[in-house]
Amino acid sequence: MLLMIKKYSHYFLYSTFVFVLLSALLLVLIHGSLQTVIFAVLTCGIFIYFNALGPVFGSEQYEEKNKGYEFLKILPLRELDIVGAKFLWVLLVDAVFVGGILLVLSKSTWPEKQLVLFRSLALINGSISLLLVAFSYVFIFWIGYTKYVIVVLSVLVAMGFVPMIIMKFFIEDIDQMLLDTYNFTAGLNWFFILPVVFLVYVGLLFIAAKIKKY
Amino acid sequence: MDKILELKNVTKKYRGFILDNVSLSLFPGFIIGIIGPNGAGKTTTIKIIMDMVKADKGNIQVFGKEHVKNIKEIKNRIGYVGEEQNFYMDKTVAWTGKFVSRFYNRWDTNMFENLISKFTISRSKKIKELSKGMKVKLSLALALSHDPELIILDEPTAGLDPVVRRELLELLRKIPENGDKSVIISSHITDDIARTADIVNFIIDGRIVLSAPKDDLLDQWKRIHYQEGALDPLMVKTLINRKEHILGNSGITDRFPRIKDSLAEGINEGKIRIENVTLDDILIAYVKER
Repeated sequence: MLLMIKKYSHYFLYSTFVFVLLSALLLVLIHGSLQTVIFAVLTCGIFIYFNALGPVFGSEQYEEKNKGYEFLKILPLRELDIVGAKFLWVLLVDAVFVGGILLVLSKSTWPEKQLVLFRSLALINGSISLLLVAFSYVFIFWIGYTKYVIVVLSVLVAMGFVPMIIMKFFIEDIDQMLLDTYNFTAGLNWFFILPVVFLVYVGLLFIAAKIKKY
Repeated sequence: MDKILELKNVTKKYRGFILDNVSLSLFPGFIIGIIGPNGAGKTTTIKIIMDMVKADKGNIQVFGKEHVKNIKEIKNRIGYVGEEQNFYMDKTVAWTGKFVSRFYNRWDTNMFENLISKFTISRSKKIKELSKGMKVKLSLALALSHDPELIILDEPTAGLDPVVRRELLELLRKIPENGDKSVIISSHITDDIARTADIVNFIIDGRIVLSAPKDDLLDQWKRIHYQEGALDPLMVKTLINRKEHILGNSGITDRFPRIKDSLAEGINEGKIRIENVTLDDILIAYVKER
């Protein structure tokens, strides 16, 4: 598995570099109250998804283009070595992202309520992106990268309408919605959730290795 | 002598195709050929041996070890050249060699370097710049450079020009000469098998219909040309791929040594003539009989 970890390293290291760079730029360039909101939305939210899924898409596209898995199947490797290396990288990168955010938050002087919210947001997004990647791998190995991308793009386009729907129907209750979100996130028990997420992730790793057709 | 490979009743079902109870054995120092028309199950059989396709049923032992459980160790001792040569197209020959070398315990860099110079493949060329023949040669160099005990070749000559094809077959013929290496070669080009294999397996519609040493097969199978009435009618009925012409009749027998004596008189009188058949004739006879 070590050889496969090395093989895929550049995709994930590049992604980590981009994440750290963008987050650092945000912290340096944006000041005042806007800083906290943008930090929350971009760093705790969007960057995690983009940087976790980016290397997956990059490496899978490359493998499909070159029929790389057909080549790897000839070598003395088990499917678990290939799939395991990918899952390990994603876990590591995700841990760096979320860990980095938590570290930055621990050093900040922002109000406690905001910190609790942001910490939870980072952990929620980290967990969801981890599971999203794991499910992505399961589907990619099952139906192939190209078909998977078509499905994902359709879902993403559909999801683009979600903020518009929220704005249209809930704009008057936006303060209440934020309060509800805060209450919900502040009440989450991460000592229970994180091990569950990890176990589901490992379970999906074995499923992906078992069903891998591509 | 320990078997290098043993397949027992291996079955794989696809929609519209079944690889049906395939059994094969291979001993050290032999070349086994698998012949069959396109879609007969040659590649499926080989991919099952390579664990690239999972069998639904059956037992496979390679080097005396259970196949799936020990696949990593088994593949370390196998050299494989597939029907298609899949590499990372933007990488160079040197990169590919180095990448592959890390996975094998007995990789011999000198042997790889010697083989690619013998095949006149430039180390610095990108894979996408190589011709089909060059890619097959590179595959072969990669397959041979870790001192494999079993070499598996799936339609290795498909798409090659006659010169490269002949070179490749000559090289293959030399592989088991010292007796410690074995080869499985599949092809729908019977001439490839005739030139290389010691044992021939005919696979048709997912079933091995005939398996025998090549020389025995060519001794047993003969085409008989006979004049009307020169052969016993019961014997005529046993002939395969029978043809009746105004100028004479012919058919193929698969039991020539047994009937040879009874044909002697007709041969002496010039009423019967015996002709050697090729593996191609046997394959066609089988396909037509079905």
